[in-house]
Parts: sequence; structure tokens; C-alpha cells
Amino acid sequence: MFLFNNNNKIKLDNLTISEAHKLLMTKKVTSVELTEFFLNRIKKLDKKLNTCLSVLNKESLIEAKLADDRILKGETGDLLGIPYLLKDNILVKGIKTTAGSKMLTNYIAPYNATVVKKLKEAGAVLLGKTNLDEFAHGSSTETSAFGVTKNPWDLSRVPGGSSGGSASAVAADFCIFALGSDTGGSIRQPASFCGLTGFKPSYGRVSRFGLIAMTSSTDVIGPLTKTVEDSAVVLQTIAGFDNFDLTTEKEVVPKYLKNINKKIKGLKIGVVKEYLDDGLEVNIKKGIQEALNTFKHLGAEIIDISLPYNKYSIPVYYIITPSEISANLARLDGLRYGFSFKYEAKGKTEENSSEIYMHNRGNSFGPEVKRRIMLGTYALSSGYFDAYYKKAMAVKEKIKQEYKNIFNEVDVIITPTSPHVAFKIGEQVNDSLKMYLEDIFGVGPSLAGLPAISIPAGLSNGLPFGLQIIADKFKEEKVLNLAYNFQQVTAFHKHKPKF
Amino acid sequence: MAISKEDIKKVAGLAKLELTDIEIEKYQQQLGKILEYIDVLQEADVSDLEILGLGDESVNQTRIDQAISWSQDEVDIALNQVIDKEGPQVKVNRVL
Repeated sequence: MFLFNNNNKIKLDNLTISEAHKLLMTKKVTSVELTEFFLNRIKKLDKKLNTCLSVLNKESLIEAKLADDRILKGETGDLLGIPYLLKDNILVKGIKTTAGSKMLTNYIAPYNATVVKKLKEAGAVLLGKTNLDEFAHGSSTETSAFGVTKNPWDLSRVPGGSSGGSASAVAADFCIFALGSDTGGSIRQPASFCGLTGFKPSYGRVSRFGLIAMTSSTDVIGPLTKTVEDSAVVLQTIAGFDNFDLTTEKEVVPKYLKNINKKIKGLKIGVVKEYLDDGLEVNIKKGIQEALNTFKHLGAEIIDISLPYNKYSIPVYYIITPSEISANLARLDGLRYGFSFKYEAKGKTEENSSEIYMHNRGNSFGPEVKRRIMLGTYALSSGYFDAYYKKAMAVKEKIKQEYKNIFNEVDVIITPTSPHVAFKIGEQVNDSLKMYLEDIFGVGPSLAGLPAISIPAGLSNGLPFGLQIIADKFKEEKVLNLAYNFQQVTAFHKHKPKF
Repeated sequence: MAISKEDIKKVAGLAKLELTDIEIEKYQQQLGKILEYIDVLQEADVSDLEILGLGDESVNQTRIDQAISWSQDEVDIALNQVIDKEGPQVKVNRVL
């Protein structure tokens, strides 16, 4: 798709943030033109993919005009005038925020999430809100109450999840970047399935204020972008301490672009041998081996490591996560906001409230949300707490210590992002345990609060797959440095889907 | 680990979820299967962790305990979606 502007034919659809920034600063294109271009593209093509739950046609053009005025006044911010999409579990004042749930079908957010406030101040232009698994509970975007999102690489396949709408939209060039949220792999796995760069920063690096809580101890907001450089730019804008989220880190946020291109000679990369065994798709195994060779050629050293407690990460995650979900979603009763309809309570007056809660919740939560609430309530209930929650917290501590010790020996760890490419829609939806195992490489870094990125590492039968780079807590720079060097000598991130 | 139908009903009550008979049967099977998988955790040795949170270096941060008023438009957005209200307050059924 082309846009004609000042008699120059400028290709706009696959622009990165840095390319769009140059065009905006040299006045070759305006933010309004960019915004109109993406709005038209969404209008024309999103019928095929179902990435957007709402499109802000009017509001985005007002924001774009404001950005153009700021550019004319000489402002030069990296994200000024750049159109983006936002996962629909992040609040935008006055705009519908559904979290992909029937419970919040008509919910209007009364305030902005901190990340939204920061992006607004930076002059980024919000185009709309993207589809997700209901309350981010899932790995395929199939649990959304508003239909599945499709993968632009193959419309019969899922885009991954839970940030599947954001990933599919960036891959389809409906925006220049998008934000997702990641609790156990929800940015990284869709990035792998859609051929993108997806970055989960350290827990506490980005404010969660205004993110609809799923698992408060591992939820992190992060970018889905077309390059590592773009991820650094977005992270720079959204990172930092926030008085409204006291789990954020007070230390100064480093300049992520400053050392991103530093040579990686001598850098120590840890690889867990068992992760590259026969459980992987053969092309992914080959791709990861080739990537390791690429890193070797760039001067890095590959070191075999062992993470014995990591094999417990999935059972730990599926105790801690549902437990926190059962508590976090308890606030949703349909009385102050959300799904509710006239209901004649049958019991005595004092029992009525309970009946109404049960009715509203039972009739508006989808099967995966109910499953997780049930699992969490069970794990926390009297008689089972010690065996499940307490034990899971202890093993989580062991997993954290295991990473901490390993990072005394190596700088980063590399794993596949997912053991396979995007699966077919409907293939796993009825097998909850199989779906939980989707997160096999993702949850370890989440439980330990570590920064982890997925970058494209190849194609298998025409479908993309990613590799994951993990570093010690708050060492985002190391992750970005290594991933950036990889993208300088490979072209996997430049492959595009045809749909 | 097997889980009984009665357990499922009890947990649904605690979680304030109205479930159909079909759902109760479904969750009985699914939760049983998931719990069986999760039971692998019991073999993990954590005997050297005396106190929970031992390895966690995070410290509590606090802020001044101070009420910050919402702006009128924020209040309006919030109250406009309330099912039943009286003045600026949400009206609910008697709880006591």
C-alpha cells in the first residue's frame, strides 16, 4: 500500500518507529497522514483478522493533529506522532475497556493507565484497543468473548496469546507498535507466533497502574514491535517509578539506546541442553542452533547450564496465578460496574447479595476465567493452602535463587520462545492442560521477575518462530544489546505475512 | 488428585460463581486432571528454605496515606455506569 505525499511515493505500511520518526521530523509525512493511513488499513483489512475491539477514529485524528502542531513547534520526541494500538486490558479514560470479557462489555474507564499517560505526553497516537484472551487468561486469544483473532501468517491459525490482538495487528501493519501485557509469556509467545519482537521488561520496571490485574505478582506491560531498536524506544518512554504502583523500581531508568549496538564479544550465553531436545519442532531446534552459531560468530561464548527447579515452573505458575486471579477478580460483581441485569433473588434479604453476585459472575465469565477462579479458590481454601499455595511459593523462591546463581556465571540465557509454531484455531481449546504447557519457556522468567525478549529466529514451513533472551533483573540493556546485534546480521524480523 | 462433585459445589460457592450441572461435571473432570499434574510439586525439595521469602530482596515501599480526590469528569464516568445509585453513592441490597 502506498501513500502519495508531496509527489513522493512513500511506503508506509511496514514502517518502524525510527523510520516513521525520520519521515515526521523531515516533514515528508504528517502524523495525520500516518494516522489516516492506518485507520484505513484497519477498516479495510481487520475483517479478516479481528484484531481490534474498538477503533478510535475521531480521537486518534485529534491526537495526530496535536502531534503535528508539536512537531511544527520544534519538538522532536521519538514517539511524537507515532500511531499505536493498546491491549484492551489497559485503561484509557472515557474509552471502553473490556478485557475481552462479557463482564466488562460496556465498561468505560474513568482514568488513564500510567503507560497511557506517558505515551500521551510523548505524543504517541492511540488508534484503538486490541483483542485478548478474556482477562488475559490464555495463550491463543480464543477465550475472548468477542471472537478469536487470526494470525496474518495463516488465517486458520491462532496469533498466540494473550496479547494476540496486539501481535496480529503489528504483524499486519495496522499500527507501528502495540502494547501488550505479559504474565507468563503473553507478549513473547504471540511475538514468536507472529514474527515480531516482543519484550517483557523486569517486574517493577513499568507501572501496572491502570492494567486490569490478573496476577499482580508477575503482570508486566511491554511493547510488541517490528525491531529491537523500537522496543528500546517504547520501553524508554513507559519505564520508571510510579507513585501509584509501589512495586515499581525507584532507580534511574538507563538510556536503552546508548549501548544497544555495543559489540557482544566475550559475552557469556547460557543454554539449557534439555530445552533443545526432541520436544521441539525439528525446524525450531535447527533454527535455535543456527542462532547460537550466529552469536558465536559475533564473539559470544556458549555455556551449558542447568536449571533443575525450572521444570516445576508450570505447576508453580498454575497455582500462584489462579490463586491471585481468584482474589483479583473478586471485585467484579456487576454492582458498581460491569455485567448485571434485573434478578429476582429467591432467598432471604441477607442472602440476596450473594445470589446476585453468583448470578452476575456465573453468567458473564467465560469457561477459562471460571476454571482459573475455581482452581485458585480451591488452592487457597482451608485444608489445601499448605499443600498448594505455600508449597508453590517455596518452589518459586527456589526458581528465583536458581536464576540468581546462574547469572553469576553467564550474562544471558537463551531458550526457544515456544516449542512450536502457531497452532490451528480450535486445536487445543478443549485441552486446558495442553494449553497451560504452552507457557513452558515463558513462565520461569515471569516467576523470577526477569526481563525476557522474543525475537524472530526463522521460519518453519512458512510460519515464524522466535528465540527468547533472558537476563538478570533490571538488566534490560543486556537483553536489548544481544537481540539488537542479532537483528543487525539476520533478516528474520523483516519477513512479512501475506494475507 | 480426584476431586468430588461436592468439592466443586463448595468451591463455586466460595468463589461466588453460579454453575450449571454441566459446568460442575466439566470442572470436576478438568480440575482433577490439572491438580493431578500439579501434584508433581510435592516431590520438589524445599527443605533448605526455612522461611518463605528468604531469597526475595524486594523491600516494601510506602507513600503518604493521603486521599486524592478524583476530578469531576472521572467521578461522572464512574457513577454513570452504576446500576443503582443515590446521590454520589452506589446503592446495593442490604448485606446485614
